[in-house]
Amino acid sequence: MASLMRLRIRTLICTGVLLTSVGPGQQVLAQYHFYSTMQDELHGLAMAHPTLAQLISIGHGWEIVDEVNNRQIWALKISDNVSEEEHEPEVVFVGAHHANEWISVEVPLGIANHLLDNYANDPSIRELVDNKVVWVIPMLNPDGHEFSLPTNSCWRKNRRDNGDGTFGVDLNRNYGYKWGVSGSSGNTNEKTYKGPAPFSEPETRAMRDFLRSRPNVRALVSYHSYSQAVLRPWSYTLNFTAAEPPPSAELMLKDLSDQLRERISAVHGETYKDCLFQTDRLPSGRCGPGHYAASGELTDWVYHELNIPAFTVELRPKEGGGSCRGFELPGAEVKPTIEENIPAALALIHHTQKGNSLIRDYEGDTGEVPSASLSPSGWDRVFWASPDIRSDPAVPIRGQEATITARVHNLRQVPVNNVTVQIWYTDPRITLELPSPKAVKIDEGTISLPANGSAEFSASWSVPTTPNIWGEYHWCVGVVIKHPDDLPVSTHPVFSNNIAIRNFQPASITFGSSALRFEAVNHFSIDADLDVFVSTEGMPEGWRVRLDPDRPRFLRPGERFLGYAEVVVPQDAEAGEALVRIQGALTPRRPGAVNPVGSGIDYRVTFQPAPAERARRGLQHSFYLGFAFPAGSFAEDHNPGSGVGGGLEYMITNGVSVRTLVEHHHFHGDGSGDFSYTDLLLNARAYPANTTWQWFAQGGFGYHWGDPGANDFGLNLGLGLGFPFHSKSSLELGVDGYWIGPGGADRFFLAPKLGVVFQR
Amino acid sequence: MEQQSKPVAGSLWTQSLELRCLLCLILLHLFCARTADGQVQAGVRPPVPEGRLLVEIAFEGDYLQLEQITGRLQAQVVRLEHSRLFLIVDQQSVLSLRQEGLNPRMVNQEGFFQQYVRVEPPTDSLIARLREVGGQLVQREDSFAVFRVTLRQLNLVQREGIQARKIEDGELLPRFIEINASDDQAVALIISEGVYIFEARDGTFLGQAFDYQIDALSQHGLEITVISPPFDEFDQPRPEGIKKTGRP
Repeated sequence: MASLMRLRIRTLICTGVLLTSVGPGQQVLAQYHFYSTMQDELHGLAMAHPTLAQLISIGHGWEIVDEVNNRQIWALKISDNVSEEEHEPEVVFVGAHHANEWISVEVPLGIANHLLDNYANDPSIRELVDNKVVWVIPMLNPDGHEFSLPTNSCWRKNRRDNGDGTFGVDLNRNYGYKWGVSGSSGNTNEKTYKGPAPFSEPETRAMRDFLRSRPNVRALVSYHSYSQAVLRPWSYTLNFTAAEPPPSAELMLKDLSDQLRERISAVHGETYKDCLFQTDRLPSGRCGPGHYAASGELTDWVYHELNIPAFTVELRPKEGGGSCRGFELPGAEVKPTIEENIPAALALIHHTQKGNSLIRDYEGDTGEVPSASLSPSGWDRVFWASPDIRSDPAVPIRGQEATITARVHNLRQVPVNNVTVQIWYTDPRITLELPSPKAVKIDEGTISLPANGSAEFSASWSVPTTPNIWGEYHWCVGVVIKHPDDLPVSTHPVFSNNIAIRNFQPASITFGSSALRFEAVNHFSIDADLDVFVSTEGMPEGWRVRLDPDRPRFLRPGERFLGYAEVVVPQDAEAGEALVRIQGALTPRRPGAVNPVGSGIDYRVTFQPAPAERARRGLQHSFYLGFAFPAGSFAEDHNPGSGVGGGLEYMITNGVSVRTLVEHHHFHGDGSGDFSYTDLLLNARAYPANTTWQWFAQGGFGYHWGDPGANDFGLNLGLGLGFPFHSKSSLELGVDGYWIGPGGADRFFLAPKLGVVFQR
Repeated sequence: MEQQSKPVAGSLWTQSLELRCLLCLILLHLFCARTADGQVQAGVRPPVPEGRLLVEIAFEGDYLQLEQITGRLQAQVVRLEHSRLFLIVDQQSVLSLRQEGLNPRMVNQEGFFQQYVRVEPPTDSLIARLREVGGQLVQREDSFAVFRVTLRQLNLVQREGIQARKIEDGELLPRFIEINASDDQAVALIISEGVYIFEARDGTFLGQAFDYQIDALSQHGLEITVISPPFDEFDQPRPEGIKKTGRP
């Protein structure tokens, strides 16, 4: 039976004709293409649709054919106005990294045929083609494919002459990211030979340079066979641990992957697994036993360098025949394989567009991406202050509940139901990507959007009492919206209209020269230029911001820099506040496409002069009333009375002052008449602590005029507490002890008093 | 005539430097040339072009830094292996590398470059000798064996008269195997040995491997079965001498 099937495939190849008839205007799908027939078909498509399809060569293989020419790596560009650069989102479908995976040529070719054949009559296809650019690269490994297709269904690699008697490099182990780390071989004779160095092969260099030259590429699918699976980064590791975490966009990648699998299965009921040999992943998100690592693989590099979703789709069959038979998919299965993969491809193309729903990054955002760009003068638009995210209270209070509300807009003229809204918060020092395993989901729900209108979703946020990893009370609230027809294809707010963020500082920070901190960390693997910009709003006159003069011009890979911006407030400044915005950007020094990354932080700086500071400067005068209690022998013939006084105080330092006072104490007589002292005192006073309530201790000497008689010198000591009740006034409560005529009259009395102090 | 001719020949030999050089070149060429069936007779030369050097530098960077280095130096990357980067460069580039503090070291080319060679018949003594000089047995078929050797090792055994020639395209074919592996560690071991896996069924992996890989995995206690597939890697008959091993 197997031999008969094989004979049939060969017959189809030789004749180039499919026995199955398909509708008029549609291409014959179920056949395997040689390099030459693929080339002819691509040329034919470009000629038949000159305004929609354009064929370019992005590179070539090793081998010289026709004595002078290499086999070319053809890329078919499909879009309206195809000869123009319209800056539309782009999606890439590539096949035949591996020579013997013949079906992987047919699926991208089938996608191209489907788009071009149905453009005229299918509005949904026309909408995609008009608003996107689709790149179809059916055969990345033309030399290997040409060597494999006629007779050798086990040949996998390209046709590099390794110079040692062996041939070929496994192209899907030759990409740069994590090259050679795992699941590849350094031996030239082996089938997973990674090549002598990353990007050593002209085919992988062609793919690299092509993708770097297309900054609008938003997603990529690489077709392989077999085993029926949709795989996502990372391929280089199986260990989703702290040391080797899953991609930061894992949740988004899973959403997309699950949808691709569902759409594939919906056509003919074939299951495409989540791992190489397993239907579902483990709870940790990794694949279990059986799945193996493969480093230097295309989708890992694409995700790493271009930061876009990239998938490896392993096509039919589910199982082979114990040899290389699995790579020779029977002819009867070619067409169904193409058919079941087209809806998934269309969905992925669809998701790269503006979408039906929107949450804005800024006022006037219409959903175009990127929604902000970085220039030498900073971000041209603040993207971390979405007008569609608000908090009640407007400034969240640490440790309390705040209601976060997200407003979602419908861009269509018909209602949209079941829009999922997720509200997250993140430490912006860790990530600004959403959704992210490093973020915390506050809540999730679904809403219905009226036609061309908007709707809101609210969630209660327990505002953290703890600071973020930088010790700042600075959090970023992010909102992700998604719908089966509108999944995000980026986790970066700037590159997705499904995501928006807003920064919150739950409380005012303590003012100080090192308070306005910022951190820059170079997560690139190469040097990156560091630019820091400061802008202010509402800055009181006389205030200025001084940016850390020691900040470096660039950071080495992995280098971390902690800098500061100092708000300088003039002396005698009144209370005030200002918004200080610090923005930073890192631009990797890398060849090809440059994508600076950066973020910003807003500080609301408040300055409130401390009352204690005011009380301790210059001259102040005081007045008080009180009582006078005689003690010891003085109490034997005198009763308590009253006291009154006033004086001047001069602050020598913040904590020490000298005072001169005039007082009068009156004592009622005990049968012998009243008695009084009028005192002239010279005291020193100390304020031990710089607190709002000011403790003080004082002591000194004076001359006391007694009435009647008994004039003499004396000493006094006292304690008290000051209560500021106005910026220039405070109340004082204290008690002094007086000792008059030491060694002579020996009179003691205590005088509790309540006074008021005025600063001049 | 003989008496006359000898002085003439002797005179030519002793008097003509050009003739002597020509004869030396012819002899050298014959010594180095391959026979009609491709056997290398002696003196396999490394593939570094004249005037250029094979150097090694320590390299811990990633692919982007590699792009920067090679772009700056116009260097040809020969191999990146275990944080060592082997480059073919000219003298100027060597100076540039030194100025950048990369400390290039010259590499002995005969000990660096390798070849896969076919030897026959694959007798135990022949295999033992090749292993003795450091060659690695890649595959042992009925009528020949394939070794991985450095050029130095190859030149050494060829001087001993061992007939070894570089393999032709398609002569070295891995065997189809089944491996039982039930856990991650076993799978990781299989992959780390460079075994090519293309299918899995209930803990049994189907793939292709060479003899040295099969031996290595067996030594780790893995159960490996060499299978005969319903058809060979090539539709054409296998090159003569390649055995079909395994279960019927």
